[in-house]
Amino acid sequence: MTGFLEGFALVMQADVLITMLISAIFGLFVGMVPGLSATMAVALLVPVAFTLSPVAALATIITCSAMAMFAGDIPAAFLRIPGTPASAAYTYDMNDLVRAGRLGDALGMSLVGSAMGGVFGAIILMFGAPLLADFAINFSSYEYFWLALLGLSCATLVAGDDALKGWASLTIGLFLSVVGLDFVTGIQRYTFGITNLQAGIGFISVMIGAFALSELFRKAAAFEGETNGPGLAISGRPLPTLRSLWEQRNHIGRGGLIGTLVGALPGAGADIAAWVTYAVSKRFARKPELFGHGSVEGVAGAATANNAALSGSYVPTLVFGIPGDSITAIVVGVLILKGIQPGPLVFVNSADMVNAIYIIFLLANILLVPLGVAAVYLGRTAISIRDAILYPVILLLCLYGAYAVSNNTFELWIVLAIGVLVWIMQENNYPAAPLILGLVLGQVVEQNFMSSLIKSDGNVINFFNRPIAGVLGVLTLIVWFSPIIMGILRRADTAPESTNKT
Amino acid sequence: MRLPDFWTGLAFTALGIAIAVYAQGFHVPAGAASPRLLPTIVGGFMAMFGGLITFRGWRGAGNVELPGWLSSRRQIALIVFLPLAVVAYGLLALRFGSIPVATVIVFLHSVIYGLRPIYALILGLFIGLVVTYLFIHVLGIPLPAGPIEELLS
Amino acid sequence: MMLTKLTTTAAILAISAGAALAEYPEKPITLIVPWAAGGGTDAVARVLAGGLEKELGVSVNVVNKQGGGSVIGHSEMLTTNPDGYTLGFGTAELATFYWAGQADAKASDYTPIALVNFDSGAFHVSASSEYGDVKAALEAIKSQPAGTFKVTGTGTGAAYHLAFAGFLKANGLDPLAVTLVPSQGAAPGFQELAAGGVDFVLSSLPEGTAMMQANKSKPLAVFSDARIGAFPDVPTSEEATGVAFTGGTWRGVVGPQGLEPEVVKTLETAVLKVANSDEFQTFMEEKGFGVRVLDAQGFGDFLAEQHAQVGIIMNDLGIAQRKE
Repeated sequence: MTGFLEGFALVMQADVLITMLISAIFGLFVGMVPGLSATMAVALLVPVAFTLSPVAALATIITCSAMAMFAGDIPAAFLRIPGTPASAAYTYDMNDLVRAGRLGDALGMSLVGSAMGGVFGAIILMFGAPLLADFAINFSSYEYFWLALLGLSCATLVAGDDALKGWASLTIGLFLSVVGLDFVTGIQRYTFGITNLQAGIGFISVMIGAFALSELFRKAAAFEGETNGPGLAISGRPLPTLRSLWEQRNHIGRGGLIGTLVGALPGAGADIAAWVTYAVSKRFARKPELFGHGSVEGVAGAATANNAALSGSYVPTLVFGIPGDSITAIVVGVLILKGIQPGPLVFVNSADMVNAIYIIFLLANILLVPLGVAAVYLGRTAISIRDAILYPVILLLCLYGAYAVSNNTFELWIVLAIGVLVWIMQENNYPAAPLILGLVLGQVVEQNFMSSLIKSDGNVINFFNRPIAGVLGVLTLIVWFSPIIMGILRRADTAPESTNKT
Repeated sequence: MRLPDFWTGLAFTALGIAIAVYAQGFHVPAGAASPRLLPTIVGGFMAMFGGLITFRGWRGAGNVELPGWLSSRRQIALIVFLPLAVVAYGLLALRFGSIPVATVIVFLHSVIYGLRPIYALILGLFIGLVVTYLFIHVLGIPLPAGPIEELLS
Repeated sequence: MMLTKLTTTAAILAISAGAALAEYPEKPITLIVPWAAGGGTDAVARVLAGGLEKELGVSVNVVNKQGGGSVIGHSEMLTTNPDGYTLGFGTAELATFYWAGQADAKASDYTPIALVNFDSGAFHVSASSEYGDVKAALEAIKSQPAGTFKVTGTGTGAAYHLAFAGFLKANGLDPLAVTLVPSQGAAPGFQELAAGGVDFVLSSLPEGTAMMQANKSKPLAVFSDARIGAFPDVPTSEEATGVAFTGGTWRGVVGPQGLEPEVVKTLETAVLKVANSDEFQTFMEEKGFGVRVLDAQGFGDFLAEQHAQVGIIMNDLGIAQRKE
């Protein structure tokens, strides 16, 4: 308790609170710009964090990432362009809800869910960090391989109406993930002598292409002349009603739990947490048919999960110095620079600091609600601007955002190629979501599979003979093969009418 | 651009086969891991799904439907402008800096959208300056700089 | 005030009319860092850049150009305009690209300015490991067929991988006797060690601090000439096995080909001054980075030596794409 009070005293300093507020606004702004992710918001803060006191530096990073994570939902809801990759899973749901005049159920739900997810994750971090970390550290490449393969099965759930085209889209994403330098063997694949391609196809650039540029194409093709804004009459309060919040309690709770757990796994962050929760929510949903066309259930779960994952990712970071995601990878660097060595001793040596982190998390997520509402109003004003002004500005933000990924104009070529490809694919009813999923998980699947094979000298039995790996492996195989088995069983029962739907 | 499933499926099949065939040329170092494995599997599946889509769309092969936007000059211009703008920024920004290139891109884009040229010019100058300045000096992103950026720094 | 400004302006005009190079530097310098913001290399580069700003009187901006295992940033710092306003912060990987077939430039093609850091690799085992010292571990490796033991903590062909292979070779073992399970840096490597997937981890000693404290790992030896200050209990390679061996990763300031000698001289002086300053030394020590300072001449010899050594060891490992 004294530690808690000491931590409280550390946070309640004028400089800490002021940097929190400034970084909150910074995070909201960066998150709203398509292509600038929460990770990039934090990376941009690194030079500033160098000059701050340790608590202020941590406060900046935590606040900024929580804000950016939510802010990514705002352009997703209004423009169908996710501001950060973690919003991609439920972008279309939010946009359809906003179009239906249910702002509170879309952005309001994601705002409240985000704040609750962040608090939920922080509470787990406070009380369960050592326990959870001991569990997560037992994950070796075998477990990660199964987990990633399980994640890929989500492709069927986010595929949309035409499963076959969803699978085809997934293979494109998987192919993009193998381009570049193969991490395991160090050889180049599909680089055709282009040095820049050795870095592989960047996830953020693909996101900008697949969601932002392709959306601009779509808008251009549908442009009918003078319209005001994207033809949205936005109405409704920016917060959900208590009743609809209560209806979503299970999805929010599940999102918080899955988000924290996925976040706690080293290497899996908010993006994967949102996708997994979206897919799981669909399984448990009362109206699964609405997913992808304006499902409140999908928004509630996944929006909660991505903020919960932020908190969860601090579990292995603090306990073992092993970053839980790309943001905490930066946090580890900043902590060490500030003379704090993450590890089990941090709870003894810097107990006040650890408590300060908890308090910052709680404070940041509470701060998220009023600032988030303000940002929603701002976003609403921004999109009531006429097309002739709005879209040129968005295009410019996409160009700058793409360049900023690696300070390299090469990212622009990726954006262009993917933008055109996805636009054509979507015109022909091929969904984009599986492509993103394939790209995110492709490397995880392959690297862990290869590492596992190397470790076991090519012996496949090792994929099953560790307790967690065995359970995950069997579960994955069931998930993958159950549709086929069910399909065969059903086909035997019914007349073969639906031959063109697999 | 709406194409019959027959043709999009065929494109996936061709790409998948190309990916799988190309993968066979990768150098395999000693050890258990082969860099050919995943690309071969992915290419194979892509070809298979493409093949199934082609097969399913067998009958509609001839139904090429011209997209509606081909009938509107403004829509064509808007669509053609997007890739041109990306290419222009990618090629020219390193030489001339971000501000002038951004100004021209925003100006032309909003003119094509039907904004009056004088307003478009003001918009282009304003956005080109303010957004670029924010990115470079507030966000600290080192966007390509030219003579104008150097004057401002 | 006004007067000072006028005189400065006049002075600048007078100089610029004369020798064009005498006034270098006169505008901001860009320092390309081939790794992402927030990492170790980035941190060292930013502190160095801060010191250089004071020495040179112009701002020195760090620009991260990550990707492709740092090949992209390294390629760019070699091919950039050699006007002295774009420099690079090269790391050990620079010497591997030629051999791995990732680039056509050799380490010796870069213009050396100064080396500022060298981190010795260390050999860690799980805390529950049966090996109390390196000798026992090496005996065990020798007695089992090649590939029985697995090591991680680094990528294929990365600095610590090559250092470890060199260490095995120096001790009379086949460099391929222990199989590398590639990992993206030390942290995931230690996780594999804790999860029981591998036998050894390679990293610098400071990178292992958290896991040592958690009692999940213990270091057996460090590949350096002398013990590391913060870790007085960890023996050097020579103390542990009787065979002296140094190996690890390094960082230094390099420039593109064709830099003017005067520019190199100015930069070298500035970098050396910063690297030898108390401020920089304290920073490096506190954050667990090793300091090794070499001037342009010494760094150039070092790069040539690295090029040759890396070529031999990568060919031994069968990961080189060319013989010479």
